[in-house]
Formats: sequence, structure tokens, C-alpha cells
Amino acid sequence: MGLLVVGLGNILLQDEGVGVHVVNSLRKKPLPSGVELMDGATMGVDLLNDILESDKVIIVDSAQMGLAAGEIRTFGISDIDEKEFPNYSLHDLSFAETIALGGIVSNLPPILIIGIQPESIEPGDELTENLKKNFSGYVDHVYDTILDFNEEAIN
Amino acid sequence: MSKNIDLHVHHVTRVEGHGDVLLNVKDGKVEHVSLNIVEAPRFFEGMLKGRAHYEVREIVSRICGICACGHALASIRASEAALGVEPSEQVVDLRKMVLHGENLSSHFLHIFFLVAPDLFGVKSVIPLATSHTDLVVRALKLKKLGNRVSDVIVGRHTHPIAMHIKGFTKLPEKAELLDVQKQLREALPEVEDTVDLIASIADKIPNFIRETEYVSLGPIDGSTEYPFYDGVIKSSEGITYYPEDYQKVTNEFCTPASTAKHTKHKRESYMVGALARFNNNYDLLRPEAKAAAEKLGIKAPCHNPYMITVAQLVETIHIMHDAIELIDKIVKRGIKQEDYSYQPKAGTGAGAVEVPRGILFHNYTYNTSGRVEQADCVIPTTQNLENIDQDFRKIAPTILDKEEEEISLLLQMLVRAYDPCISCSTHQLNVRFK
Repeated sequence: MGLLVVGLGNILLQDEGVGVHVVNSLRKKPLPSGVELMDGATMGVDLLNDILESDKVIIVDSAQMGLAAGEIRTFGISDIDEKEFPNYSLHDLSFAETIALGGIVSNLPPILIIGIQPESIEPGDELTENLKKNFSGYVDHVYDTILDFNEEAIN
Repeated sequence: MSKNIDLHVHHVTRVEGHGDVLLNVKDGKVEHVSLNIVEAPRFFEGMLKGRAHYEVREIVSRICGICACGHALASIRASEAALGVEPSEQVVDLRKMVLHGENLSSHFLHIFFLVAPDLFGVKSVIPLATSHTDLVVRALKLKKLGNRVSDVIVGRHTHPIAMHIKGFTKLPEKAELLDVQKQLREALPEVEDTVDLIASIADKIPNFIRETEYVSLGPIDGSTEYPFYDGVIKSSEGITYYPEDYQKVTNEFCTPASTAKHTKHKRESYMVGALARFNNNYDLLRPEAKAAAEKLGIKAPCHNPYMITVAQLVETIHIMHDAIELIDKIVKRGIKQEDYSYQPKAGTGAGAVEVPRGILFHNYTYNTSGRVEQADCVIPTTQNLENIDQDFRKIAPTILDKEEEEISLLLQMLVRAYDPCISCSTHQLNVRFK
């Protein structure tokens, strides 16, 4: 399988679901062959099976990154300080545990994470105004990242 | 003994969501012990008000990433009861398959990733993956198979798109079902191996006995099926209710320690989940599952909550055999396109299904235009919270002579045995850059 793009999050908790909303918006755009979009909702360790079956992976998720609400940042697994990676992020195994597990039982493909800093993750099925205002920018950014990352040769 | 303990375990690990364990001991006497839920109250029920009948199951399936199909099914059953809609036999069988897939997947997650580290004496699944790589690879494979069962029928396990009131927007192909059946058959020896493995380390499971009330679905109208999808509400106190009377069982109340509600019925608390189902419906298990139970040394009624995980393993054997047979039945009948149209109307209805952690209730009132006026969801973890506290109160005084670390581990293992899903369900990625 080629490039897997997963939107993660709970769409019933406002900005928590931004990753899912972005990936669903990308369905209207023309994508290169081999790119698969996935609404990953609140998947935990299950994500690992999909990751291990892909050549490359992009994860789009709301992320507490200590940035201003609405800011978007693209980073790799190696950019994250694991010691500071709290253990309660994902629903079953944390994302850190899922990735660490993948590295032990198999070889992980290259993974890019696109994080969007939420303003509120309280119950509610709409994004906050701040993220709504920037939303088309997120979709464009993720789209461009898909095109670039898809072109990059795998070492 | 004049021992003092002030134990506060923040956010018990390997539990879904946030729960703190508190234990205060003064002069050798337990002053306080509880599981405190620090999760914000849930407002999902309010979110359903005013929604149209066809939207509801989609919204509730997003409450939980693990029980997405279970919430969708409890919701669909409540809506059908309210709207007076009858699903066909084919639809009911396919829904049973969906539940089987979800229960398998969740049980494997709990057995291998959340409880096995305790039995092997390691902190988490990460060191287990290094010391027992084959086991973790097997766990990932089995978990994937559980998801595959649901995926084939509803499109995607964590987002069951094809399942609706009265029917499905897309029916599975015969070849897909037969492929799933083949995979289930091939995986059976691996689950049997797991039974042998857990049986060989069963002495690591703490021996703690507290008799309580067990609540689960029970067989309806003389059915001989171990009930997950259909049935009456059955209490081990010898009482049964129809699903619409679920509030006579749940009797929700608030406690100062927790932002989640607690429940009780005939005793001070009751248990739901795999062990409650096993105790209430042991006779209805398939012979292969009964044989596994014997190997694992579990007999009904079993009053050791640490054995919940063992009951889950027994259920996986039952579910796999049942799913193989159910596929035969569906394929033999022939997969037929049916009319899934219906007319909304005003009404109230309840749905009760067995999800991995126990019996789940949804109850809705619709107005004449088919929009939700009132919604109520009672999740299994809410029903188990008071039972966990009662277990704590009984076990704590008996383990005070142990080191604080061991006391903490025993209490945390007890919480994990219930497989509580406290957050239902956030998914926040927390990042600090190097």
C-alpha cells in the first residue's frame, strides 16, 4: 500500500476532531494514485496494522504542542521528546506506545505528523471559530504535504 | 499494627481514560479507598436532542473508539423500538456478526496489551514486545481479525458507516464472508494456544473473592443462544426485566468522589461484563468455550473480579465458533437485497446490547417528525464503578501488610480487570518538541 493519510480525533469534542474533518475535506481534491485517505476516528493500537501495511504515512491530528490555538506544524517521530510524551493521549495504547510497539515488532515506514493546536476540546460537534477561520488553510497545507511527501523517494 | 499509608495513583495506566486510585490508612485501619473518576461529565446525550432518527447512530458511534459498533447497535435498537421498526432475520444475523467482531477485537486488546504485562511482571506492552515478540505479533494479528469481521459488514469498525435503522446501506459479498470465516478457522489454534499459555500462568492472577450481583442480558423466549444482541435484562438475584425497564436495574446515583454516576440494584453494587455474562449464562456457552473454561480453572459462579480477563478469553473461543457457524447460516440463506425503508413516528424505546465491558443501554424519545426529544445512555463502566469501590473496601484491609508498591499494583490490577473505559472518549495528541 502506498501513502496512507489518517485523520484522527473525536468529532464530538470540538477541535479534537479537526484531523477527521481535514481528511474528509480532502476527498473532494484530485489525489495521486496510491494515496489513501482514512477517517481514523479514535483508533488506538489498531492504527499500527494500517501503518505497517503502508509505504509512508501522514497523521493529521489535534495536538497540544504549546503553540497558539489554530497553529499548524508538521514534524516527524524523531522530533518528539519521548520522555515528555504523556501516556494518556490515545484511547487504548497511547500514540507513543503504538509507534514504539511498531518499531519493536516490525520496521516502521516513514511517518509525518501534522498537528493542529486546538482551542477547545469540550463536548460539541463543531470546530471553534479560530480553527474554522483557518480550516481551508489546513486542508491546503495537508494537500501540499501529501503531494511533496508522495514524491520523496523512500531511502 | 500502626501502619499509615497515603496512596494516590494518578491516572491508572493501561486503563482507558483518567481514573485515580486513592487509599488512606491510619494506624493500620483503612480510612478511605476509592476509584475517583476525574473525567469531565459527558454531554453527548444533550448533543442528540433535536437530531433526526437517521443521524443518531452516526453521532453515538463516535462516543467510543472501541465500542463504536456497540453504541451504534444499542442506538439502532432503541430507535427501532421507539419507531416500531422490525429488522429482518438477515439483518439481525449480520448485526450479531458485527458485535462478535467488536467483542473479539476489544477482548484481545484487553487480554494481550493491558493485562498480560501484569501477568508477565512487566510495566507495559513495550517490554513484553521485546521479551515475547511472538505473543505481541499474534495479538496484533488476532485484533486485526476481530476488526476485519466488523469491517466486512459495516465498512469500518471505528466508523460503522453501513449500519442503519432497519438495515444496511451496503450488504457484504458472500466471498468476503467466506474469507472471514476461513481466517477465523485458521486463527482458532492460536487462541487455543493462548488459553494454554494463560492457564500456565494463572497462578499470577490474585485470588480475591467477593460475591456480588451480576447483571447481563439473559435468554429471551426460550432461546439457547449466549446473548450479546438480544435478550432480557437478567440479574443473578433471580430477576429479569425487559430492556425498556433498564432504569429499574441501573438506579443511577452520584457520589462525591466521582464526576461519573454510579448504579446499584438489589445489593450495594453490581457487576457487568464478561464475568457477569459467564456467571449468568454459563449453560449457554458452546462446548469448546466450556472446555477452555475448565482448562483455565474458572467455574460459574466465579466471584473473583480478577478473573474477568479469563472470562473474556473463554468468550473469545465461544465467539469465534459462533461466528463461523453464523456465516454458514447467512451464506446458506443467500444474501438478499431487502427493502429498508420505514416511516418515522413519535415514540419511546430502549435498546440493550452486550458490548465488551458489559450491558449497554440507550433510550430515546422521538417526536412526530422523528427528532430526538430525550436521550439516555448508560455505559457498562458507569455500572461497574460502585462494584470496583466495594471490591476496594473488601480487599484493602487484607493487603495492608504488603509493601506500598505491591498494594498499589494489586489495586491497579483490579481496576484494569474491569477494563474500564472512563473517557469515552478523547484522543488528544500531546507533544513536547526536543
